[in-house]
Amino acid sequence: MPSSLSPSHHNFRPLEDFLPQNGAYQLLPFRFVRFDTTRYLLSNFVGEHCLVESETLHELVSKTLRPSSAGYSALKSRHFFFESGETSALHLLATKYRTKQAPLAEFTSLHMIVPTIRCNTSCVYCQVSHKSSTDQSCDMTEEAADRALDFMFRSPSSHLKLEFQGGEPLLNFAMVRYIVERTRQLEKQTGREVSIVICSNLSLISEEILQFCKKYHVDFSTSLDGPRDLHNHNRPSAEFDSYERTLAGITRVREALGICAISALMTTTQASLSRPREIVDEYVGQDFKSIFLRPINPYGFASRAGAITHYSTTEWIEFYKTALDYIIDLNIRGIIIREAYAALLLRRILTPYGTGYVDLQSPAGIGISAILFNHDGNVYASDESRMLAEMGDPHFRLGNLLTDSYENMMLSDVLIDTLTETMTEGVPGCSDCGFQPYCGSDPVRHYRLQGDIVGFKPTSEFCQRHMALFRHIIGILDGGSAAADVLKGWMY
Amino acid sequence: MAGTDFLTNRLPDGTLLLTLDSKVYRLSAIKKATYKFGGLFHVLIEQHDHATEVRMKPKESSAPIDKLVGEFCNEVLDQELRETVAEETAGILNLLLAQAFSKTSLIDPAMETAEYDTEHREETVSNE
Amino acid sequence: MLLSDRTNAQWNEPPFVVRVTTDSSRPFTLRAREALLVKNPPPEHPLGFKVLFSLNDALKTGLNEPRVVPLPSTLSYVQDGDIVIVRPASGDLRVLYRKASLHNSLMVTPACNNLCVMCSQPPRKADDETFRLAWDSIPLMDIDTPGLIPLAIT
Repeated sequence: MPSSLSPSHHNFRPLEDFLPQNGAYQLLPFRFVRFDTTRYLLSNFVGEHCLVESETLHELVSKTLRPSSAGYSALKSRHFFFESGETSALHLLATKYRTKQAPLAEFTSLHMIVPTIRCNTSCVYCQVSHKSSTDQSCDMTEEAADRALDFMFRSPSSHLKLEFQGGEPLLNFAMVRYIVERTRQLEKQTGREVSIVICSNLSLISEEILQFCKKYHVDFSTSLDGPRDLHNHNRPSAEFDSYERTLAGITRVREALGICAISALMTTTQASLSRPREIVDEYVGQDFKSIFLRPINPYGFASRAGAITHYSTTEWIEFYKTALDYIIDLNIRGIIIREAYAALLLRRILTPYGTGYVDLQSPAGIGISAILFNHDGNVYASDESRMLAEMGDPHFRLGNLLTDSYENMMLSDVLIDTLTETMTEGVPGCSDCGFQPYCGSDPVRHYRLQGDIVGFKPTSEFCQRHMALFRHIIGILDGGSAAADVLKGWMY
Repeated sequence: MAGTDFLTNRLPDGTLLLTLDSKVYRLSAIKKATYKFGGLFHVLIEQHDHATEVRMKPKESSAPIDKLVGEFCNEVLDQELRETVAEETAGILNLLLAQAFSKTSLIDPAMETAEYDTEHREETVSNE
Repeated sequence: MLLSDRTNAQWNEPPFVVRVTTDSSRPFTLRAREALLVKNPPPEHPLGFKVLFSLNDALKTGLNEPRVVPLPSTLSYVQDGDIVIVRPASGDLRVLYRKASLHNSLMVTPACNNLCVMCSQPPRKADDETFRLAWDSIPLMDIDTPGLIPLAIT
C-alpha cells in the first residue's frame, strides 16, 4: 500500500472531469418573488426554496450558472435544475409532490360543534351574535348532535378532532356531556379515535366538569389576551372579572388534567398593539409553553365595534414582528415558549405536511379540512362561514343536518365551485408567486372584504399579511443564527 | 431602473404614460405586471405596432411616483423572466405532474419494472 | 461544596423557594419567584425579584426591595435554573434542585412510621413546610429535567 496518494496519481482523474460542462443543465419548474432589495426567493412546486442574489437568478435562467458558483449546489440539491442525463431529480420531485398532496386524501379532520350560542361574556371582537346566558332557544338538540356525529364519522380522516365552540359551551354542559359520551361510544364501535377540545372562557369550570373531562380525555383551549387590564378591556363580562375567572380556571384545569391539557391564544385589538412584550410576558408568567398571536377576524362585533378593534394590517405586522422577535430572544435566553402562528408557517415552509390551519392551504380548507355544525343544525364550511351567516349572509352554508344528506352538502355547488375557482395554483397574482407553495386561499375572507371569493390580491390584507410574515420568517431562517435554530425547533 | 427601453411621460392630469418596446416586452408580461400594481394605479393598456402604451394613474396623489414606476418596470422584467422559465419548463411540469399521480413510471418504465439481480457474485479481496 | 449553609441575612417571613437566574432582564412576570444572582450591582435596578443572591458580601443596592441575601461561598456554585429554599427566620439556605444534575430528588416529608436500625435519615416530626416547599418548587423546575425522584418516606 503506498504511504501517500498524490493528486497526480495516475489512477485518479481530477475532480473537474466529473463535473458537468458549463451550461449542460435543464431548468425544472419554479416560481420566484422579489425578496428584498438584492435577493429573490425561488420556490418549486413541492415547496423547496432558495434565497439567491438577483445575478444568480439571471445566470440560472440564462444557463450561465457555473458549477463553481456558490448557488449551484444549493439550487441543484433543491431541484431547481437538473444536469442533462439525470433522471433522479424527476423521480424525487414527482414523489415529493405526491407526498405534499397526500394530506388532501385525509379529508375533513376538524369538526367544530356549537352546543349553544348563549354566552356570559361580551368580547369586543365577538364574531357571533351571542344570546344572553339564559336563553335556551339557542341550544343544540340531541337529534342535531346525533346527526353531527354521524356526519363526522363519515370522514376518512385518521386524525378526527372535535372542537366545542360557542357562545360559551359550558353554559350547555349537558349537551357537551351528551356529545362526548356518544363520541367515545362511536369510537369503540368504529375502531377510530377522536381528540376532543372545549374552547371555553373557563368561567364556569366546576369539579363535576373537571372530573368528566378527566374521565373522557377532553382538553381545553381558552383565550388570554394579555395582562389583567388588557384582557378585561377586550373580554368584559357583566357578571364577573373575566381575567380572574380565566386564570382560576387555568389553574384548576391544570391541577385536574395536567399542564398540557390546556392551551391559550390571544386576539389582537387596537389596545394590544402597543403591548406585545407585556402580552408575551403574561403567557410566560402563567407557565404557558405556547402562545398564538392572532389578528382579528373582520366579522361580527369586530366589524361593528369600529375604533375599538380596527387597525391596519401594517400595524398588526409590526406588532407581530416585535412579539416574535422578543419570543425568539426569550428562547435564546432559556425561557421556552413557542409561537403557534410561526410554527404553522414553518411547517408550511419546511415540510410537506398538513397543518390543519384551513386558511392557509390550496385548495382552501373549507369543508374538506374543517367543518362546523351550528346549534340549529346548520352546517357551515368553516367558522368564518358561520360568522358571515350571523351577519346576515348565509352564502357558505352547506345545508342543515336535519334536512340534507352528507353527499348533498359535501358536493354542493357552493363548496365545489369555491374550492376549484380559488386554488392559488390558478388565480392571478398567486399562480406565479414565489410564496404560493406555503400560502393558501381564504375565499370566505375575500368574499367578506372584497366581495369576491378569489379576491384582488394587490389590495388583499390576507396577501399583504402573509407575504410579510413569510419574508420575516424566511429571512430569519436564512440568517442561520441562533434565532434560526429556535424557529426550526418549533415545527413538528 | 428605467433604461432606454422605457419612455415615461407625465401627463397634466397626473397620469403616467409609459411606452415599452414590443420587441423587448411581451404584452402578457406587461399585463401581469400591471395587475400587481392594480392596488396603486388605475391602468389602461394599448398595443401599437412596435410599442405597448401603458397609462397609469395613481390612486393616491401622495404616492411616491418615481419609486413606484421604477418598481413597476422591474416587475415587468420579472414577468418576462417568469414567462421564459414557464415556457422552458412547461413540458417537464406536465411530465412531473403526470408521474406524480400515475401508477406506473412515465419517466423510466424499464428501470422501475426490472428484476433485481439475484445472482451471487464472487467477492475477491486482494492482499496487499 | 455543600448543599446547605447559612447566610447572615435574617428576617421575619415564612420559608419560600426561589429559582436562580443571572438574567437581569428577566420578564417581570417571572421575577416574583426568582432570585437574581449577582456579583456586582446590576445595571438596572432589579425590581420585582423575590431576593438578590449576592456573591459579594459588600454589595448594597441602596433600596429596600428586593432584599439582598449574601450567598456563602460554599453555595456559590448555583446556576441558572437551580432552586433554593430560603428560611429567613434562621438564614438557612438549601439547594433543593439543580437543573444540570441527573440526580435530583425531592423529599416530600421527613416523617416515617418505621424505625429501621440502619436508617440514614431518621424520621423527624412531620413538618408541613417540607411538603409545601417541595410542592411549590415543582412549577419552577425545568420541563426537560432528565431525572427526578420524589422521595416519600412514610
